[in-house]
Formats: sequence, C-alpha cells, structure tokens
Amino acid sequence: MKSLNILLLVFFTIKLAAQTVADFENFNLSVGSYINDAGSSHVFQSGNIELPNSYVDDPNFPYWSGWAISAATDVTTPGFQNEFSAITGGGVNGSNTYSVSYIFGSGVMNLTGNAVGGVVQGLYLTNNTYAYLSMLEGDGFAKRFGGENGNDPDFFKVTIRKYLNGQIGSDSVEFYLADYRFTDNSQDYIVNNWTWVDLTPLGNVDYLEFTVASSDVSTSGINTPTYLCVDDVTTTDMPSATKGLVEAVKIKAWPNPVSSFLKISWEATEPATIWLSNIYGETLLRKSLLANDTELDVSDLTQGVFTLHVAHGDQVQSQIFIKI
Amino acid sequence: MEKNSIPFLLFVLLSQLPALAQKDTLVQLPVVEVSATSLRNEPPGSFVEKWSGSDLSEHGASSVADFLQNQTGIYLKSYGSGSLATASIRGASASQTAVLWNGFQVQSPMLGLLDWSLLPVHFSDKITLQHGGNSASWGSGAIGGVVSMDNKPDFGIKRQLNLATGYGSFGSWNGQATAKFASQKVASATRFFYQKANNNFPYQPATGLPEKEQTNAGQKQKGLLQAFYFRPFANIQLGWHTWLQQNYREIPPTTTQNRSEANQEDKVFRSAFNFNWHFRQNIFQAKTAVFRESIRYRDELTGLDSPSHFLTNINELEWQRIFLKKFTLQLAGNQTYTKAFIKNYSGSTAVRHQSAMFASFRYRSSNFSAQLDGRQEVVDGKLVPFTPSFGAEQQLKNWLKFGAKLERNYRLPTLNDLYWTPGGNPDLLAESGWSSELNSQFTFKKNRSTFRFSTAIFNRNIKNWILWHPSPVQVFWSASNIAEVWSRGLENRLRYSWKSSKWHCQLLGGYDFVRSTNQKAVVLPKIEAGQQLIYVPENQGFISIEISFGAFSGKYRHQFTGSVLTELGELPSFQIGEFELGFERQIGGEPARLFFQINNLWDSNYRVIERRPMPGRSYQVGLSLNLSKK
Repeated sequence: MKSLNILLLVFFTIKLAAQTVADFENFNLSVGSYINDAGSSHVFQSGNIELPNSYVDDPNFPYWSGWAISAATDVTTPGFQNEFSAITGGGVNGSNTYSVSYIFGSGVMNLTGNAVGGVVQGLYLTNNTYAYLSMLEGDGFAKRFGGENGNDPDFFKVTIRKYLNGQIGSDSVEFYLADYRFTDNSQDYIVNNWTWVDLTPLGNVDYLEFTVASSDVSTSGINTPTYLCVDDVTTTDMPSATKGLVEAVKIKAWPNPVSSFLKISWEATEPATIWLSNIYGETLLRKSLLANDTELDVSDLTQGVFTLHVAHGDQVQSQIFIKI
Repeated sequence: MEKNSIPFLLFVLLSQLPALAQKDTLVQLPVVEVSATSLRNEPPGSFVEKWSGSDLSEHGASSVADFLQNQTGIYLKSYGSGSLATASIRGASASQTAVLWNGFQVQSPMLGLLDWSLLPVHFSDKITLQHGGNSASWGSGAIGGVVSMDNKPDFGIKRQLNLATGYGSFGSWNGQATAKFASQKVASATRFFYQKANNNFPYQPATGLPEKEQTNAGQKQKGLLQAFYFRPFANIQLGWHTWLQQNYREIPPTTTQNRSEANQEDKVFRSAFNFNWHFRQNIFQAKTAVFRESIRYRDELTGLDSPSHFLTNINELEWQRIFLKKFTLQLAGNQTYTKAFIKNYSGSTAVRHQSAMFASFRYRSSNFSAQLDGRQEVVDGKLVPFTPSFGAEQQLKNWLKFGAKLERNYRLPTLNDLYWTPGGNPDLLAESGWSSELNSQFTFKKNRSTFRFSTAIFNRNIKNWILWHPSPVQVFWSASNIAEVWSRGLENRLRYSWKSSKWHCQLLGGYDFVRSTNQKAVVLPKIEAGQQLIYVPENQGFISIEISFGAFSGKYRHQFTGSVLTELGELPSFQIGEFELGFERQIGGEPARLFFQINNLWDSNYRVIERRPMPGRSYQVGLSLNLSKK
C-alpha cells in the first residue's frame, strides 16, 4: 500500500508538472530563411531541448549535420538544394519556424534544465520537401514509392528511443512518414501535414534518439532522403523532488564538441572500462581505467557524432559528443 | 563547337570538292605509323583484335561503344539508347580501360573514364582492342583493356568523298561526311558527323502494366575531325589532328521517377601534333597534344547547374632502334600536365603533373617473339609503383600459336577521388596489381574456308581498389582504398568464313566467363568477401552469321548477357537479336550501300542498368556513297 501511494504521488506530481514547448520561434527567423550553423555552442536551444549541430565552414562546400532551424517555405522544388523546407511550408499552426534534421545513422535531441529526466509529452513531425517529393515522384537516386507498378509495399519511418541515466530504454515509438504497405493503394500516404506523435509511452527521458528506415535501400544504405522536420516539442518541467527519484549518477565528458582531448569523470571509485562507438554502434576504441578522472585523445577521430560509454560494476553509462 | 563553326565546316568540306575534278599523279610512299609502334599497340602474348577499312566504314554511324559490343561482345554498361555507356573488360571497372586517340589517353582526368557513346566510329581509320592491361606502355588505367582509335594518312587517295546517312525509329537521324585529298607530300582528311534522336521509345514498366513513352531522352551530337599530314621527305612525316565535338543529351527519368528535366552538354576540343622521322634503323617520334573538355550538367527541376572543365597537355618523345634485324629497343618519355576546374575543388582548381619514362626490348624471329617492358611514373613528386611487363608468343605450327603475358598494372586516383569537397582523399594510393594470361590461336585454311579459334585465360589481382562509400562518422560519401579484387576468366572467339565467286558466308562467335570478386568484406557499400562485382556478368556470349550473295547480304546477330548483381539486387539475364539486310553495288566504280536494320528483333524487355528501360524493336535504314579519284 505504501508503494502504491508513492507511485500515485509520483504519477500525479508528473501529471501536474508544468510543460514547456520548444517551438523554435525564439530564433526570430524571417520567413524563407534558415540557420544551419549553431556557432561555437554547437547546439540550438529552444524551450527545454537542445539540438546538436555541426557545421563545417569549408570554403568550397560548407556542410552541416545534426539539426537546423528553418522558416523555409518552398513546397514545390525537388532536390537537395531545398533541404531546409518542410512540406507544410511553415511550422505548426501557421507558425514560422521549425527544426529540420538530416538523419545520418541517428539523430539526438537532448533535454535541458527542468526537463532532464522527465517525460516528453510529444512532438509534431512532418516530411521535408526534398524527401516528400522524392517519395512522391522519385528522383535519379531514389524511387517513387509504390515502384514501377505502384504496388511495392514501401515505407519511410522514424523510430524514437529514449536514453535515461546513460542507458537506452526498451520501448520505442515508431512513426511512418510514408506508408505504402496497404493492400488498397488508395490508403497509401506520405505525410504532408504536422502530425502529433505521443512520446509519453517512453517514460522519463534524458535525451531522445531518432533513427530512420526505408524500404528503398541499396548496398550503400537508404536511398530515400533521410530528413525529418520537428516542431513544438513538449517537455515536462520536473519538480526537483521528483527529479531526484529518477536521476542517477552520471558521467561527465567535456568539452563537447571536442577537437583533441576529451576530459572524463564519473562518480565511482571502482576500475572502469570506457569505449567509443560511432553512430552505427561500431566500437572504435576500448580501454580500462583505474582512476575516476581521465583524458582521452580523440584527435585522430574524423568529424562526426560519437557515443562515449563507461562501464563499472554492472552499470553502463553513455554520453554523446561531437568531434569537430 | 560554337554555332559559327558550322559555316566553317561547310567551307572546309566544299573547298575540297572541286579537287575531285582535278587530275593528279600520286607516288605511293611507305606510310609512317602516326600513333604508336607495334611494341606498344600489339605486344607479344596479348589478345588483340583490330578493325579497319570496310569493317569500320560500314559502321560509321555507330559509337565505339556499340561497335565493340557488336564486334567482340564486350559488356557494355549502357544507361539507355544514346545515354552514357561505359565498358567492363575482363571484369574491370569502367575507369580501368584506357582509351587512346592517336596514342594519347583521352579519359577524363576528373572521372577517370570516358563515355564511349560519344566516340564516333566515323572518326577512326583503325580501332584496336587489346584485352588485358598494358600499363607499362600506356600508363594509368590500362588494367582491363586498351582501346585505341587511330587516324592514318592515306596518301593513296587522290581525292575521295564519302557520304552516309541513316534514318530510324524514335526520331533518330544521322549523317556522316568525309572528304580526303592527297598529293605526294600533303594529305588532308576532313570528317564531319551529326546525329540526333528523340529516343521517345515505348516501354513496359512492369508486367501487366500499359506501355509508357520514354521522356526527356533526346540527344544531339555533332563533331568535326580535321587531319593534315605533310611528308617533306620519304622518311619524315608531320601530322596534325583536331577534334571538335559538341553533345547535348537529356537525362531521362528512371522507371521509378515521374519526370526529369536534367540535361548535360559536353564540349570537346582535342588537338594533337606529331613528328615522325625514320633514319636507317631508327624511328624517332615526338608528339604533343592539348585537350580541353567541358561538361555542364543542369537540372531545371532542382535548379542544379554544375559546370566543369579540364585542360590537359601531353608531350611525348619516343625513340626506337632495330638491332641485328631481330632485336628492337624503344625508349620513351611522357610528360602530362592536367588542370581541372569545378567549384567542388579547393580554390575550384586541381592540378596534376605526371612524368614517365618507359622502355621496351623485343626479340622477334620468324616463329617466336618476346618483349620486356618497364615503366616508372612520377605523379606530383611521388613514385608510382614500377610497372614491368613480359610477354612472349610462339608459332608452334603454321596453324597453332601460343602466347603468355605477365605484367603489373595500375590506375591513378582521379582528380575527383583526390580533391572533391567533401569526401575527396588526397592520401589515396594508386590501384595496382599483377595480371597474367595465357592464350592460343588455332587457324585452319582450306580451299575457300578459313577457321580461327582463339582462347585466353587470365588472372588478375588488384589491390587498393578505390570505392566511394558512406562514412560511418560523416554526413557525406568519401573515397578510400578499401577493396581488393580478384578477376579471372576465360575468353573464346570463333571466326569461320567461306567464300566462292558469288557467295560469302561468315560466322562469328564469342563466349566469356568472368569471375571478378571482392576479396575483402566491406561494410559500406555492403560487400561480402568473395562476392561478384556489381554490373559484371559471369557469362556472356554472342554469335553472328552473315551471308552475302552478289550484291545482297543478310546478317543476324544474337547476344546473351548473364545476370548481374547491382546495388539494388540482381538484374536478370537477357538475350537480344539484330537483323540487317544490305544491298551494295558499284556506282561510278565506287561502292554504294543501302541497308535496313532491325534492332532488338525479338522485342525483348530488358535492362542493363537498374531502373533504366531499354528500347524494344526498332528500325533503321541507311545509305552510303563514295566518290573518289585515284
């Protein structure tokens, strides 16, 4: 009975907690513009979320990865040169601004402030124009969904998983950005409006991981342009008492982004093993450590997103960082 | 070629017509080979096929791609009628076949390959296909094979005019003209071609679906090749060739693409000068060439506009001497400078300097020959692996010949491989490895019949094979030396002919078995160890039979191409047939020919490339006329 009371307390505490909406309007973008360079912070912050961004100002071919903030409105031009437009032509409910992610392996959305360790209520998803028109009409690289005879059971879906205390959750939420698997082809669809995706089944979250899958694949991976647009991410502000129930010992790795040496500390005194993995889960480096503070030379890594894992005892904790 | 080049072209052609009415006397002098000596073109132990004269003139409207596929059954990776076509010889990649024009490599240094559909047969006096590599003679890229297009002075022709035209299905039309004149010391050859096609052929996207019509597939090509030769003395010859060509091609949609508004425009300028001097037992040759080629890809739908161009300057000196009648020594040096321009290079420019020294030593007796070659190339100050080659052949009986060859071959990374931003890798190594082959040729002649059967087995390992691949940690593709490929196989060719006073029958056949496998597993693109390369069929073959009776001739050709792996799965095997009827008679003492051709006779619905439809049955009619004064 006592346990039930605690659970009810936690439940109602969460239910009654305030919510914060990340709508990206704080960037004050003019209609038609976008930002794909977060500057030295390497993150875009809105509400209680943080979106990692890497921008390389190559004089010939500047490129970016992670997330961009956009108020682009072009819903007719196909091709990657229109990668920042949502097929809706704007944000949720006629707002200007939304976020765009190019998912290369996986994308990450960090919770910040009072939202850390709390429940994410949900977010709005839609396709970007490039991916939408590619699936609708095909391009020189990717197929028109339905294929040559219109009956191919094509799909393009995003899977959202949570990380809490450095560990991936067992539950996931799937959302089909396009679904041509219906026997009746008239039911086939490609999402072209903002659609609410409920993330409360994931429970408490430190950060979200987004991966995509498509039926149109080659030996080199997905042919469909792997973009998604996100708006109005609604997080829960966790009261500090409740937050304590779900927070655990965390590793710290800084600076993030890092160029050469990554400093690592964690709250444990036992010997530990650390390893690095890339976005495909491949282990790139593994070593044992005795002290609880160390420094890791990552200067040989190429630019990109990596996950640092620390295992001590039966606990594994992880943190994502960006190598620049 | 600019618009105002058309009047210039007409001027050149018309200015030579009055010469047809003039009388001249001609003294036949030995012709100096313009392009390359046989040490480089036909080394002992190699499997070489060559075509000239009427073999080429009857196919003047064809591209080199179609011609070689028709004649020798090489695997052609064609994106559709009139679209990009590259070849795989002995399981090599498209960029591992060297293409030579008068002894100069003409592949794009940016892409490492050449679109063979843009090479008109009409612009060649001789075409040679050497199966297998020959990097010791020709340098980078000569791994799977070497295709040579050569022009030769024809001092035996006083005045000659050849005209040919063809009209066919899907809005295709072509015309070729050649005007030649020669005196004792001067010779000129002017060639022009034009062709266009709408390529709006119907195709069935999938079984049970109605036919669709291909769209945005039109193309236009026009080109001019002018050759001047000057022979001030019997042992000295100068030659100058200039090749202008302009191509406009629309890029059709795939079978899973609703529409395309993309197109590509190529402009080609190639000019080469050579000096040949025979002195006693010596042959000295100096030659230089300047190439400028531009490609502009545009897509009206996406707004993409990607222009690029490159400049190449090649200089070569070659000295050859015959000792004791049976020994030949050749020493040569080559210097190549390349500069390429595209916004994706740092500073929009990439430059490469190549210097090479190579030597050949050959022994030749009446029934045995052997040749040792070696080449050392320096690229931007770095040594490329030394490239040796040894080949020998023995005429055991008058009907039996054996050959063998062992060599090292290489291919330099392209400028895009090295400098493309993002993903180019300046630290790339050259692809290189060893090749070996054994071949034999059986020839029987009896009365009116000639039978020849050639067979070759080959084995090749190439390390540091360059692949572009998605990087696990980057958002773009990049180039790496990640693959290792083992190619081995068997090539067979059969030729039988029988001739009487009125009848002529010829049978050609070929069968190739090629295993070309990745030896190391690769994560991305996903390749299993031991897996066949994509777009390399294990089995392919062809057979053609041609029967002539008097002025009439009929020809049927059947081709089988085995299934291939692709990046999306597997494409099934296919068979296609071609039929041609010809009528030839003398007009004014010169041959005139009329032909009617049916392509894809059995209306096969087949694909060579995934999602790229090929035309069904189509028709073509053509006429050629010759006027000459000797």
